[in-house]
Amino acid sequence: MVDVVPDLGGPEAISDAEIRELLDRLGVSRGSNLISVLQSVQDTLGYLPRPVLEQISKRTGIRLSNIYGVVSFYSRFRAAAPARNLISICSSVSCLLGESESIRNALRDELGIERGVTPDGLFCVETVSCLGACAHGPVALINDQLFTRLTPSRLRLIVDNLRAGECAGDTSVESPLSVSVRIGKLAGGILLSTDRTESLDEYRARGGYAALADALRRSPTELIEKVKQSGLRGKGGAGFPCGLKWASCAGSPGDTKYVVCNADEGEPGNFKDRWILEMRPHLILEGLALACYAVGARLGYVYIRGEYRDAIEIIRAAVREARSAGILGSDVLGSGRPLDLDVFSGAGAYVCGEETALVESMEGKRGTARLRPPYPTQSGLYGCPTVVNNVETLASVSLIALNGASAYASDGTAQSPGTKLFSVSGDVADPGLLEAAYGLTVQEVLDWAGGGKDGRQVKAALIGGPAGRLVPAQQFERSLSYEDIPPGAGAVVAIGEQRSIRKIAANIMGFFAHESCGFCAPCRIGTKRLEEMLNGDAPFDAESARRITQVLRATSRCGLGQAAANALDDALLYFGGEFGL
Amino acid sequence: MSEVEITIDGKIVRTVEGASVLQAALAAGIDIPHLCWDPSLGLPPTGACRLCIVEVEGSNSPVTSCTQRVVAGMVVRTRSETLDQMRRTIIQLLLSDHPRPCPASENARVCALCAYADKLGVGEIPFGKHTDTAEPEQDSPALVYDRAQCVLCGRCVSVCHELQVTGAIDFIGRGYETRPGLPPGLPRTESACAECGNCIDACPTGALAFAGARGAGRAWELERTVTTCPYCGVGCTMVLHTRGNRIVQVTGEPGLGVNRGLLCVKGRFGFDFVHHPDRLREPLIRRDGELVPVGWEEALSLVAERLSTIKKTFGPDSIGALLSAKCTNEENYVMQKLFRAVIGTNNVDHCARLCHASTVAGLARAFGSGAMTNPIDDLQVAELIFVIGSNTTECHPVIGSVIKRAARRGTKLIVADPRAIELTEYADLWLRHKHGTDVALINAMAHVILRDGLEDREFIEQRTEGFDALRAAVEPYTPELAEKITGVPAADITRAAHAYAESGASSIVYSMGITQHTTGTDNVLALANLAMLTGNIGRPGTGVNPLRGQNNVQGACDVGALPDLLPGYQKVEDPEARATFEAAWGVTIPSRPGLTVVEMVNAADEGTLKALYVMGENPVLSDPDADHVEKALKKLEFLVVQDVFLNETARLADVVLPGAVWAEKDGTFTNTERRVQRVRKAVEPPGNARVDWEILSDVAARLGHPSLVPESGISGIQDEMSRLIPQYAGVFEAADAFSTGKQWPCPGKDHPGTPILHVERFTRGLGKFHAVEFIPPKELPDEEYPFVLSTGRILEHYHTGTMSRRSEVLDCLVSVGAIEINPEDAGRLGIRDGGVVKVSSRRGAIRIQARVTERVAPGTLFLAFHYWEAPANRLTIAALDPIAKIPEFKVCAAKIEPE
Repeated sequence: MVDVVPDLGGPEAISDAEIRELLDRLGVSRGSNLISVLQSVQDTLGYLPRPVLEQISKRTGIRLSNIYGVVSFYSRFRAAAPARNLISICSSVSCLLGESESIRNALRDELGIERGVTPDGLFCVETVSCLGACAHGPVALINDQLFTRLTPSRLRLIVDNLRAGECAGDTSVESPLSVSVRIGKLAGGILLSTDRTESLDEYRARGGYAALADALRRSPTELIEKVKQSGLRGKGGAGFPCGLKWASCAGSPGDTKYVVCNADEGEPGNFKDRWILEMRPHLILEGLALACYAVGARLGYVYIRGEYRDAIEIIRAAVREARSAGILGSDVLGSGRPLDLDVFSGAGAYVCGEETALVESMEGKRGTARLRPPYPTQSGLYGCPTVVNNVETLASVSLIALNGASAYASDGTAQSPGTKLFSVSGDVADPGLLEAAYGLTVQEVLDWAGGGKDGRQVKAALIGGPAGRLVPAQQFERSLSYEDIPPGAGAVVAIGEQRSIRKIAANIMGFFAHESCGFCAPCRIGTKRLEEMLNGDAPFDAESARRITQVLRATSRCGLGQAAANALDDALLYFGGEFGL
Repeated sequence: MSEVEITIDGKIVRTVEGASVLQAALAAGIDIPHLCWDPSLGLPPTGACRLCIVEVEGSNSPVTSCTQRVVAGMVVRTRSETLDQMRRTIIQLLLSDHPRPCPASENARVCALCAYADKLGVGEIPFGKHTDTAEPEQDSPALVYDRAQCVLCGRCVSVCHELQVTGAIDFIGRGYETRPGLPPGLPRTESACAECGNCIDACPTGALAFAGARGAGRAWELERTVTTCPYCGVGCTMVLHTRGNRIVQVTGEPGLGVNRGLLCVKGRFGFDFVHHPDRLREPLIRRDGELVPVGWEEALSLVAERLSTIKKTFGPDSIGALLSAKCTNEENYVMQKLFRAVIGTNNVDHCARLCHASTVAGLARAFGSGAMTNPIDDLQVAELIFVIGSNTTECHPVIGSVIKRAARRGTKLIVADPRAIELTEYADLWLRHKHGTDVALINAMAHVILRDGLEDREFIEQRTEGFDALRAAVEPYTPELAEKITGVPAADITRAAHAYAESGASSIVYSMGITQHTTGTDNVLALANLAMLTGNIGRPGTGVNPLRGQNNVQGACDVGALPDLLPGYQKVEDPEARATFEAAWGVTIPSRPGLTVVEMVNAADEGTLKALYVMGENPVLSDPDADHVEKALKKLEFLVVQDVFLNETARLADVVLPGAVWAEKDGTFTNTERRVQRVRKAVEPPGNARVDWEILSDVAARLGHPSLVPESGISGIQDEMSRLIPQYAGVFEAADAFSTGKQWPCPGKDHPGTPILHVERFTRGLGKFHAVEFIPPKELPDEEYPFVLSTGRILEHYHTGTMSRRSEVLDCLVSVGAIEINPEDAGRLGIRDGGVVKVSSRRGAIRIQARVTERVAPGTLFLAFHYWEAPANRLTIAALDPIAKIPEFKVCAAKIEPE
């Protein structure tokens, strides 16, 4: 829910008949997915009035309390009528390095508020954790339109236009996809090989879906073996061996199984999934279809974060294309096997990138991570064995299926075979996406990106994103691989010599405090207390901070909390001087 | 379950497979700090507080012992320097938001977080203290929530959803802003909250508290008395927390009693009537038309003298007594003995006549025993529950929750009710039959069962008699015919019949929607037929289960508060039975059954009943055709009312004797499932008020029977009862025994009691089928009175309101009555929600607010009978069931018009 005190008591303008008509049209009934229903209602009405939620409760049998539990959990849901204009400023660490503070200050001067609703009700200002345009910061979503490389003067112009009741204007917006794409020498196939959205025909012309057709003629076990041989590791952050995950799901009892493509890319500094989703939709769909076949799922989902509106549309269109081409449906490529894919749009919660929280969210619940065991491959979506794979992982699956496991494994290192996308942002001359084999050094990545911005030295690099490690310059020769520095989702955020590490750490902790689901005590309170210490709201005490980071890492209930203190621990270790140590 | 051996802190601990490490440790006496998991709730762990971390050999990082299942050979350490430090840090984090000193200690609560902090030596909080300075929120007369004290353990949310099954609250918000609560902005009164307060008991820190106990002081300074709830027949075990002579708060006792620690709004918050200024403190006698206070001696002498004179002049049968389902077994036993043995009349009856007389009559005829056949717990093993004529979630809330839990777990639920009661939301099938058409509905189900060959032939053959008569009787009741009578689609009747007959164990639950009809006994017999036809009796999860309305209505019946039955359901007309009592009591007992409640009122009106002694009843409000009751009671020569308030009946009395409430005395109540449970004294009666059996004993003494009650008091009465009531032979346990009682029949001290009746044989030998025919209610709507008016209870109030309307919380929640009317009718008649209406019947008229709601079907009205200012029974008809003499409270014709 937006950080605005909702005015829930006021008279609602919608009549009972209108509500009935709307919910009839959306087919809301027992079994409807709550989050999808709420999204449709909000798309129609702009927010979620209580009378509508009460009727949804009656129709679905979901308790009103649970509905509000969900509405209040996700950032994108609004329980109150929104201001006419909604400005969401990205607060990610990459945008911070892009001087997003100047934007926030300009906005404060212009509107008189830092966040919330202006007294005239014209503007609502909020901060969002990351908009996935990290190479183009600072960015903001203004009335659902993405504005990149904002400057105070451009922002003032936009506000003036909006105030005058016009559209935001200022069309000089750079697409977040126009990133520098550079590729190393890769044997196993190349992801970043297009400069516009690839159509089905184009994809097929390059051999697309041939691997799926081939796999369907063989046994699922063969496919799983192939992926195992490739050594493919998950590319969403944890790096779990993909073949093992599939085998576990395939071996779990149950007729109904699912594969979910995790496209909830929300880790600040990462934008590679967005690129693949929007540029190579069929590469993902084929990977997802292969995964479904391998584990025995007849239905697969692409769970895309709600902020990626374009990606959602592109994937939906690609699914339609694939269906009409007979690639999906009751008879996949003439194999006689049924398979369908669908898109699920997230509602705004970073924690849903965690696979069990993602599954909870898909079931229409608050995105709180589940206890494990059971693992999703044993009991996932609706209690069925479920594989959750990252976008890039599934894209790699398509390449492996096409080019072979050994080709893929010939790149990279022993523990980290193959290739990885790196989202490079921050204080570098030429931020962008890099596709390279595992094992390259941090320095090599920075060099690819043209080195430090404005000729300045880079003093540290945040690897993976806020949940990753903060690597000081003296360790830039270390390699990005599971043997050395795990690359996580692949973000590399360069931090220039002039930056305050403490400020970076405060930003990162603020991100976790904002995105903590709140369920377990160490994460809910620990991230908040650390944020306060780091941003100056409370005295900084290194001993206390270390104690808190210790419980975060050791006792948090899910990966979010366990990783929340990584960067701070590194900062205290390598940049203690900046903390007065 | 197989045993598993693990090592905890070097100690070998044996536990069962599937247990958590925390469970194993706690059972072995090793305390691991924990806040979010409550062993007594029986719910799965959530792993929210992270305090219960332990080290498991072979694991790199600590694991939470609540979520870690035991594995044979596992080696666990619960203490180490690292663990202790991490625990202290987590506690410090929680305390960094927690007010100190903790307000819990001032609010009669115990804060587990602060207790752990003290135990683990957590001193100063080294990081920013961000105590929420907001005042505790109170959005209900009962509940206060202090966000600052809340540790977000989630127990309140779990209890609300999983045990109470109301689901009013959830976690709201995300991250640091998260809190448990209602939908934001929604007033509690408009929310789903049932105000049961079970979240209070579940809260480990006192963040949730009873508003009335704020500032009541330290929990450990209060006395605790474990006793039994005085409201409905569920018989919940509760704890009275007292300071001096005042009850400060009431809680459940985790896991204990038939309620397993849960309570409802009445039980938890409706206790303060005990200390209400209206309590009678002195005896009163009528002088010059006014009731004036007098001493006990004067009052008791007057009672004895007048009763003697009237007995001498008009004979013993000119005197009658109304006993009380609110009083203890011991008191009811003493009172019926007083009238049978000392006065010499069987004119003793009580309000069971008005609620379950038809159950007693019907089930006795069919099975030989008129009580719930199976225990409450059995509802959890039933495969199907058929609820008919019971608004369980409002009238027996804790059983309502058991049924909702079962339905959520997948137990099939069929609800037959003319109103859209809460249970219909959980039902697989809702049969919305018209009022008073139960026999047609049930007979049609029996018809389908026989038509489709679903009956249990072996059971019928071996265990029952009268089957042919039944077969012939239900033959004409095709579902199609029943649809015409009941309004329930024939297909639904067929589905219900199949589901009921085909499940492995089907339980029938019913209440006054079945009994309070001129065909009440027939309704009960029809249900008994259904159960016997399908063999759904005498096994776990089956049975015919009447839910009794009053806390001790079962007990009052058991101990002889009935005009035709001596204690233990022994017939007055049976010379052998009489002989036993005559020998024990040393008197002659009249052989003719006495008058029932309504008959006594009629006899008073006709002038044949001259004196009436009423203990803990309020017939002016509770009996049908109230104007007639009042008129009749005014004709009596002598009316004694022994009560705790000057209720509507007491105002007519010649003598008023101040009695004591449940919290002021020892004894037993028998709950709806025949469980005889202890009532324990927690406070003294106010002023000169006295315990009821002592008053009765004094009356007897003044009538020349000084030893009516044995000298040993309660234990002596119990000894006598266990000798004379075969079912009660072994039910009484030592007063200090911490037990929640045994279920009768219990033939001996060593007998564990009988949870399920009619297991091998019916009490009467063979179960007997009865052919019953559909007979319409006595008074149906016509042009002048076009509505069907039905009466009953609501969640927040109880009976004639003498108790519940003197409770601040309950009165605050619902302070005025309202009559339910369908929007269609309301629209047509120009009645708006909350508007005042005049409701009238052939007997009288009342003014009351209208509640426009789809809960009632068009053409029907529903009115609770709790309100003296709008007495439902001014409208009801005194038409009686010919066998049980129960009045038809559920149907009369009425009209309604806006004022």
